[in-house]
Amino acid sequence: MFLGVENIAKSYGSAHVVDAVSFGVNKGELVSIIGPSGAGKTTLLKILAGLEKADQGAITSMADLQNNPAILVFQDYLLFPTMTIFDNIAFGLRCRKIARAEIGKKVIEMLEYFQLKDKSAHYPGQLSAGQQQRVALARAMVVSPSILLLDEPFANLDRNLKAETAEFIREFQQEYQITTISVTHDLQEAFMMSDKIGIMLEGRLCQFDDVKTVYNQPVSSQVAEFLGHVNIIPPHCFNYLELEESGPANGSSISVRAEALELSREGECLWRIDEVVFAGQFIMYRVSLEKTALTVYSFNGDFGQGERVSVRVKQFIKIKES
Amino acid sequence: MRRINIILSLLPLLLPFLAIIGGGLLITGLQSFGLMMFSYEYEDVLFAYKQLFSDTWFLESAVFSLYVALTATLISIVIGTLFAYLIWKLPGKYHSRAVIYKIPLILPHIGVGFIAVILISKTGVFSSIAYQLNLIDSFEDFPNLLYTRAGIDLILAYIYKETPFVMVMVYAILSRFDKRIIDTAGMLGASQMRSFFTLVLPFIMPVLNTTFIILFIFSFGGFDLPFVLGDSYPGMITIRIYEYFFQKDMALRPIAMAMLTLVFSFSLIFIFTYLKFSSRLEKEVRKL
Repeated sequence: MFLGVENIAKSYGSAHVVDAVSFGVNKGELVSIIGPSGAGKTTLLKILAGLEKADQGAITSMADLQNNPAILVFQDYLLFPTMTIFDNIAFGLRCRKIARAEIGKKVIEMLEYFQLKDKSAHYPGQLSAGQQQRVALARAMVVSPSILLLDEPFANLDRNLKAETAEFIREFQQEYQITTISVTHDLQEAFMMSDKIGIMLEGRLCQFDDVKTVYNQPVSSQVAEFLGHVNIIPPHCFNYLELEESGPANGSSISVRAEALELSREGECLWRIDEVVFAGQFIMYRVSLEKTALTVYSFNGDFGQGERVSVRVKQFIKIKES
Repeated sequence: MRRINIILSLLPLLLPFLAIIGGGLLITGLQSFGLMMFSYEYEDVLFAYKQLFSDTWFLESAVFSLYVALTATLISIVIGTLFAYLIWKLPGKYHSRAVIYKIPLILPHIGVGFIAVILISKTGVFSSIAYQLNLIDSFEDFPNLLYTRAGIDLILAYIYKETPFVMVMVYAILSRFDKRIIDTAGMLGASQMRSFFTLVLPFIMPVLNTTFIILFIFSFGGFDLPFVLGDSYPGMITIRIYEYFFQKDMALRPIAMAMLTLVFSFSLIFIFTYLKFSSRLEKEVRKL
């Protein structure tokens, strides 16, 4: 294990901000810790960066943290405002007293890779949020850190830039084979770029696993809910649904994500559409049958309020605790 | 139309400014040339200036004023910046306790002058303590710090009064400086010293420049501290102006006015040169 986090805890007064968190990261992996605001993600990241001291627990690493420390890129990038982009990126190298020619070469390499060559003489205040983020990443990467820590890398970006940035982070992370830990509450982007995902709720790391396992087999209904709307369907409704796989034999309810339900006019149309909400990227339908109500996310906007439809369950999630 | 509106809306401020400051400057300038001196007439309009520039006492006084103001201001800027930085670096809960440093701000200059006399005179508090601790055999052995040619008393008093002002100014700008920038620099391998000189100092430099100008001009043209503490020779230039204005023949008033005009002109040239120099320096610092 390249980085091992064992039983880390941190409290401020009586508030347990980070509560016995343990996980491991392999070399070259990109791990995202996801959780709502105030879940303790940033505190965990600061502990990993050495900016906060944990009350208990240990961090073990195979990396040479003395010569190549972990570098944290803050949410708001924190570029040095009185320095040009060139000087910002060169800062870490100058601290290491590297020869001027070598610094110039390395910085230009970074400027080219991060598509900032024409911004070299600009000051941070003259750059867009996306460009500032790339400067912050270049400034960190130029000193070859052993671990790159990203605090909410998508928080200050426009919606349309987030996915692009997630792809870019994944691309350079693979290119440089840099072990990366990112904390974010942007689920989609985290899923896009990560090898592993950790779900952090109220200071606890509830689940840490590969991307698909976390999404399809959450360890608790709390985790499942955090990752997206979950419909709990009681067994007596199974007969009124088209199930692509058979329901649990023990007669318990099934949990189905809103996007795993599909509406259709074919077959027995028993479910009534109570509400139609246009949500931009998808249409949200609320359908009901007797006392059971379901939420369905669909790309198909053909259905109208009051219409009777059939509901097909494409996949249900297997919550480990249930 | 818009410009007229702006001028009209600024008139309540502009009128007293023009009448009092502009009028005062005009009369001072004219009287320094012997004009508008009522019953007095002077053959040579430059007589006051000629007399001043041929008077070594005046020249020494000007140099002494410059020396006291520059030394006191520079030391205050260095100490004040350092203290403000140290307070800023303390955990937040200690910041309110550090408010004690503002006490000298509310003391009047003349009060600070009296405190200096009480503390550092040959029979003062420090001298008494030194005597009680057997560090000196008699009060006469205590070093002479008051009314010296080196202006130590004046410089100390100005430092005491000006340092908290520097701290207030620097602390205010530092409170807008994100401490995580220092953390980031540290992660990138910067020492505390490098972080201060390459990140903090360039950030606070504009405020330091303004503070330097304010304090320098104030101590260069200050009257009350030199009046209480200053040596009679050469003395600060303001004391010379006071003497010529109030204690000498009315016929010599153009000399007082000429000194005032020179002090004002010097201050203007100083501000202009300093700002020009500091803006160039800021650009250089950015290049580091």
